[in-house]
Amino acid sequence: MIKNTDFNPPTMMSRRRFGRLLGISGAAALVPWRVEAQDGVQTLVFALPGLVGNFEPHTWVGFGDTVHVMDTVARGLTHMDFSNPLPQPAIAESWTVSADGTVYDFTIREGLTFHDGTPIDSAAVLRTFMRMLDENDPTRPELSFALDNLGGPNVTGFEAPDAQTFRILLEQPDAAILGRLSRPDMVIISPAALEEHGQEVGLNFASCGPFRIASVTPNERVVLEPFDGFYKGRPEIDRVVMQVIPEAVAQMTALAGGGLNVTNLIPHSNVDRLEAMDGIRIEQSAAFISAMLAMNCEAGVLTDIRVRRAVNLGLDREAVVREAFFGKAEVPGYITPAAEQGYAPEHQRHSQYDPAAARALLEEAGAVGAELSLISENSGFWPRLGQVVERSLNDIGLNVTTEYLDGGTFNARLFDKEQHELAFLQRSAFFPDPDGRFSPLFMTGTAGADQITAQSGLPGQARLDELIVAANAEGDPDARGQLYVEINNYMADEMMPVATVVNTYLPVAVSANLEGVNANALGTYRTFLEESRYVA
Amino acid sequence: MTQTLDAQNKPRLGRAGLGKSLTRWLGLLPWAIAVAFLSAAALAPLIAPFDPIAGVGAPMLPLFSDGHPLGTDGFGRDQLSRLLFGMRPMLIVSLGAVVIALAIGGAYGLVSGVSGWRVDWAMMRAVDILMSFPLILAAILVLAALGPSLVNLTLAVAVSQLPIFARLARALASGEAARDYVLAARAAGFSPLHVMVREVAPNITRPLLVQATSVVAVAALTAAALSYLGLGVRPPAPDLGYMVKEGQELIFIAPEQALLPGLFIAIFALAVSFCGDQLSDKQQSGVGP
Repeated sequence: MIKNTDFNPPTMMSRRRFGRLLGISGAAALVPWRVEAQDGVQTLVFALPGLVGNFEPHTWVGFGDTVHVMDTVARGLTHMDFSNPLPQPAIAESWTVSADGTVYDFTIREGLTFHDGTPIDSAAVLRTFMRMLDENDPTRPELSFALDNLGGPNVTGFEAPDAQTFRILLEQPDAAILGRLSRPDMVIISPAALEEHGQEVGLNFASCGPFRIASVTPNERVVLEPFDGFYKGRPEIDRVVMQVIPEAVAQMTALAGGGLNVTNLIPHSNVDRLEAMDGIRIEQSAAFISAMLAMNCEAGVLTDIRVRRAVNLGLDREAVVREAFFGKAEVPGYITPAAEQGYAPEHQRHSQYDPAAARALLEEAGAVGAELSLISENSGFWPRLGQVVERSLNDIGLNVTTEYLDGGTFNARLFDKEQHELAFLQRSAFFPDPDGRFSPLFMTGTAGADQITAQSGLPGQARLDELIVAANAEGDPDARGQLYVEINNYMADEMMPVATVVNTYLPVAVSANLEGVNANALGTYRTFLEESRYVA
Repeated sequence: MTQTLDAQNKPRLGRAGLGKSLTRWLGLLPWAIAVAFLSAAALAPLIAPFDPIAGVGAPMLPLFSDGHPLGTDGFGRDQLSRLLFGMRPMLIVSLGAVVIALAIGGAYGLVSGVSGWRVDWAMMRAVDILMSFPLILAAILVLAALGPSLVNLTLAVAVSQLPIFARLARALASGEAARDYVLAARAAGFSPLHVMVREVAPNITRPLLVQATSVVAVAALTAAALSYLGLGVRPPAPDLGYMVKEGQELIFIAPEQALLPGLFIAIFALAVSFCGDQLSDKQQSGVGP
């Protein structure tokens, strides 16, 4: 008998098979971010909210894709890993400060190179910093915010006295500058890349972080590979894929399916659910993110400190934690969160909930029934927060109406004291130094003090300015921390231009077999993946 | 010989007859649903078990909880009450917007169609420009300029639907304008306004009304979409579109938080759409609405 093995009769596809194929193709179509597996290659997939693809650090203003990528591919002179309140050495292996606190000498590590092979020495570091200072530098972007973020006019110059020493000169002492040097926009850029690409260096970025850029597909993904010359050694992960997955629901699906390994973009409401799922772990982060209620001290009844105190006393923060953050937040002290230097347990008295005392203060001020508008962003946790805060304040006898605005409109109104009365304000710790919440926000001359809270005209403002300057001039960390404890108390007791509503964090979800993820950093938007590794 | 009709010989409803009867009854279903939605929304203050804004129970109670058949949301607000009250903005906006769009767009198209020539050309190019914007984008632009509120949302949705009525009214009016009775009226010396209002308008009203019924569904979906984007009524006031947005992040924990308002929107839009189709079919077959 002859058996024809070459002939396969045509068969009709069964409905079950068709359905299965349809399901598989549908699932495949719905998961465009899936990452091709490669044998023996440890790949870490990280979710990005968006990706423009330009990693220019000196135009960075906060959030978005740039910070995640820059933290992963670049480093500065110092590094703050959020486990320690003090700055640690990074590209600088050590530093000294002059007796008067105005000259900082950094010793650059020897033998380091940038991703493109260019050696790292003090001249290379100087090149990056002069790009911030020199307005005529041809490689400088048109809008550069970097010098302002480093210290503004207080920074008077940069020098490279020898091959391994880089110097920063200041007008006045500024103890926070070591922390600021760890910001994402203070990273060192390869001088060769600057010369070759000029203002376009953000599109051809080369620095000295733990990973280097292998490919960039705007609006889609960045692929990174480990850098052997990183100052802490080559990371264990073989490949990092930073994949755009903007929707929280899509991220959770990808996490459950193993197509995503790390994300800090999931809503607080889903933490318990994800924690209960096999293969996913929720990392505990410290609460570095503060949601504040800014009170315009020049607007109507808010000019009266009794009304501002009433607002602060009338905020039901326990309800905020429970209803707006599903328990994944903390009742704060005042400006400085418990995770930072400058916090003291006594600050909890500034967040006391006492509706009876709040009503009494309103009556005393003749402000019962006063109409107030509150502006809020209409995305993220803000609408939920807005509803609880509005309810709390109306319960004590105010008549608050909340407007939920898109980001652009919200910011335009936030930075104009004529266009808001109450406004939400977020402060995150890009570097956990206590000054980060005071100098940029509450000193005379800043947009925060002049426009957001309009507190610059308050009688206590001059004293507050003095206290902040004094704290920043203090070189001893412990003494400095104590000064910020006092600043918190002074601002709350004498001025009350803001009420801190809640301290929270971005929930960080990781694959269960991934270790070494820096959750404290991810919980406040920073992304340090160099110590991540898979375990069996 | 007389014949008696026993049970077996009784004339039975044939398959075709049964089908026709079923179709007739099914045809009433969308009308019943639309009326139910309108009644429930109108009577919400009377039939809703709780204040839709006040927290009245523990947060996130599941479906069929004691006293809260549809559970509660993250703020402990009764979901059934919020759904009943949440229908109101969608219905007010969609019906209000269609009335406004019908009135303005219809009048605009009438003038354009009857005037003819250059006036017609200029007026229709203006409509073309408006139509070149995606409807939802046109609505977002209006809301960005006026700010979010129920009235502004109604105006925004009306603006997005206006070109549909303008073009239809223009097409109908220009057809009528060439007919003998209109020419006779003109020859008799009646003013253009009289010709438009007294002669042409009554003869284009019926198809415009039929179109309006169909557009209510589109307007409802547009209103829900704009509310979903946060451009509708302000929280904590209930609104189906915004409830979908609020419930979306809870889809893995309490899917009903997003699915129920979504289902309400879909059912209403489908029902009204079927009503519009039926009226359109009748109008085209000459039976008339």
